[in-house]
Amino acid sequence: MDLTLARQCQDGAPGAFEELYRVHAPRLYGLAFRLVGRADADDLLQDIFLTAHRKLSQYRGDSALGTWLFRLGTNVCLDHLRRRASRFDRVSDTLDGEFADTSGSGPIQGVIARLDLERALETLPPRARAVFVLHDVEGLEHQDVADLLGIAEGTSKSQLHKARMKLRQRLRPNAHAGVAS
Amino acid sequence: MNRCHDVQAQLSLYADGTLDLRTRTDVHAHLVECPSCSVVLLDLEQVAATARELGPMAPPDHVWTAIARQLPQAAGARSALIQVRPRRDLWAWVGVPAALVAAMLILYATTGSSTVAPVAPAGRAAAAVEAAATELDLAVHHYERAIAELETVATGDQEEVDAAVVATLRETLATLDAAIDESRQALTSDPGNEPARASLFEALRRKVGVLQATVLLQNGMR
Repeated sequence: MDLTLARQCQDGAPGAFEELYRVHAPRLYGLAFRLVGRADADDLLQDIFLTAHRKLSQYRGDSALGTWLFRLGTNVCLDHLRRRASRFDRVSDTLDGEFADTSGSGPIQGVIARLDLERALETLPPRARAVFVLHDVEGLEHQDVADLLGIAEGTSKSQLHKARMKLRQRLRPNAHAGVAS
Repeated sequence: MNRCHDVQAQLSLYADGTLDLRTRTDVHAHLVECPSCSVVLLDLEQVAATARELGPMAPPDHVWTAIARQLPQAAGARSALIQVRPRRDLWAWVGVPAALVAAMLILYATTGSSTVAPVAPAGRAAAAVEAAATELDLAVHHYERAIAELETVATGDQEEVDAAVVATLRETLATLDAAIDESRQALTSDPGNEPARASLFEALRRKVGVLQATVLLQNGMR
């Protein structure tokens, strides 16, 4: 069915590409929004689908069409982040600090509101944010995250931990960091 | 302290169940005796659990419109008809003598050509209708690009506004935009409606003409 839809899109069948968009855009928009931020998400979603339209002839049905689109979309977003990083001469896009809590206060009270987490996510540096989004939000394994980002699997694991700790810190204002190492 | 530091560094892997058995056992033994580290673990698990609940997000409607406009063949052409809207900030730029503007606008002002012909007879082949809609989209797209470029040029300089000129321009372009909207509505229900297409293109052509003349006059005033 994926191959059929892909072929219909390539042939310009009326409504085929729009159908593809309607089915897959929400997931890809969420990916773009969380990876690159709200300011660029709309434009990135356009880029993703226009790129997909150009490259549909390369889809062979080896994976689900949604999976193919997701990888393509991730690469489009990551390329954007790399260009943005080089433009602003970002020194580091990772979390290198230590985060450890010696507070005696209780855990995060109640359930974390999704909106609060979305807002806290925006404060992460790009690479840590990418690892967190791809692993925790999108459910990819560390090896797949590492392959997409061009990093070692161990780096993916350490960045994920630091991202979670940073988010925890953002969501628990009374927690303090800095266990003596 | 060092023990807590070492354990907390492992807590994400512990929460994800990916530690080897020996390390997992050591971490677990520490957690049983350390409330602080237990709190950290609970928090990390909550962060991860909430992240899993972050689902798809509905994109704004204009994204598909923009995509469809740029496709080589506009799929779902009926849904991609271009919105041609006036730009409100167009007005804050011109210092043009009212007489010149009035003379120019006599040439371009809309007349009764804004009326839309009745809907064409039913029974067109679906393929012909879709093809007509596709061609229409492409043509309207070219006009819209021209209009956008002209508006950009026209808003490049901010000069003192002649209120009478602004009012005249606003009224003229509003009339043109109403004609455009009216034609588009007719074409939404019947993309092959030739008289409506003609009316739409006439209104777009006149709008481009008004903007072109305005830019020329603006340049002449510098």
